[in-house]
Amino acid sequence: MRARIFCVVGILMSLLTPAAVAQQGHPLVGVWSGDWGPTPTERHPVVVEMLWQNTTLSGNINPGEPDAAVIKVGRLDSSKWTVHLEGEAKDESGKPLLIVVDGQLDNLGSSKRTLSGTWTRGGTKGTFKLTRE
Amino acid sequence: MRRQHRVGAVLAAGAFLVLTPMLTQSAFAQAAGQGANAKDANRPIPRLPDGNVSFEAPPGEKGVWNRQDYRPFIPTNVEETALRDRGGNNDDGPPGLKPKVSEVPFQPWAKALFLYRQTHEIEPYGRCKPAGGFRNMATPYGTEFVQVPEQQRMYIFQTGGPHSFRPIYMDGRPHPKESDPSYYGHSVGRYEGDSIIVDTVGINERGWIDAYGTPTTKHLHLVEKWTRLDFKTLRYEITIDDPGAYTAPFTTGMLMTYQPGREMFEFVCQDGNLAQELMIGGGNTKIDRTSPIVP
Repeated sequence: MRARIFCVVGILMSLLTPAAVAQQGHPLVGVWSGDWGPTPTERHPVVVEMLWQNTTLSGNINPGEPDAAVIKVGRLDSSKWTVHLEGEAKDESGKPLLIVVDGQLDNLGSSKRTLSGTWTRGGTKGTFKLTRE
Repeated sequence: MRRQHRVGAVLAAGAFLVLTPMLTQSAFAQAAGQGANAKDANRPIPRLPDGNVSFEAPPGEKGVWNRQDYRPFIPTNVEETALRDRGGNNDDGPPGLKPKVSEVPFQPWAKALFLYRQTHEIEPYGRCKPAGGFRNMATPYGTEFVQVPEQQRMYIFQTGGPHSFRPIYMDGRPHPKESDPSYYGHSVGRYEGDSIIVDTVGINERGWIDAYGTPTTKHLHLVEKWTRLDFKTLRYEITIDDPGAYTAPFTTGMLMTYQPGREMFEFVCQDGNLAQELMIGGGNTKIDRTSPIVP
């Protein structure tokens, strides 16, 4: 009986545990998670999904959330491995709110590479750090 | 002091006894191999019962194919040269087979990533992941082809790396319209003279297609051509068509040498492999061994 419970729990855990997948293609492709905020103590969780279609970088910021934004401008400068993203979210009143992200890609060869820099949401400027999942 | 001398003498004698037969055997094996190579050079290209070219060892014999220089491109400066080749590697292969790095139509990010990887060689294949395309052939310790005409398919077995195999369907089937991308992708092939032409799609983005980190994306489409030039020489060509990483298709390749008398052996990539990065992910994070589920 104990062995059966152990087995069932094991199967469930293996199904729920996300696989650590090394992304060896375009270095921005995938799901990135972390936080941004205007101060070291005020932080907001953020998820960024990036896609690469031939020569175009696209994606979403916080997909499925009320503050979701589609990435309308996405650029990678591979001479310095810097990234520029722009997306349009909506504020609490439903008005368009521009999100501008400028970051530096680090630890490029790792499946857990990072992206960090400045994050501007409307009139609020802060910092961010994302790690590729 | 006298004891140290005695221990040293015993160790030296032991090393002599152990190494002498090994070195002698190795020298004999090399001489025998050269003799066999010279003899094999004039043998006809083996054929299957249906007349198609065979890449297998002739019936009753054993042998594997080994890579010659397996760089995909010819570097022309230090930045383009992998760390492992900076001590010198002038084997560029037959003229016209490998392009120079400067001739490869990289997109900017792909060129930058390729150059980065020449000094950061964290290759998934070295961490036991399967690798399609060029790396599927450029495996250490030998590659073996198994052609099964009655099933209209063939298999490529690798000794090193993941010690895995890749099926190639020769029955005229098309690629599936939808499939989950995989390390080797979906390969269909056909005979053309003394060559086999293989078309592959559906390769995932988790591996490298060669040992030098040539970047690819999910848009990758490969056309490979194996030609048996003579009994002991195989010319491998690969056309890389990936609009996600390159501005145009391009072709590279290498020669392979048939090594009679050799055969695949059990190679367990995980044994003694200390590279946790890419095997289980997580960079330098510690492995929680208290979990009953081994990561």
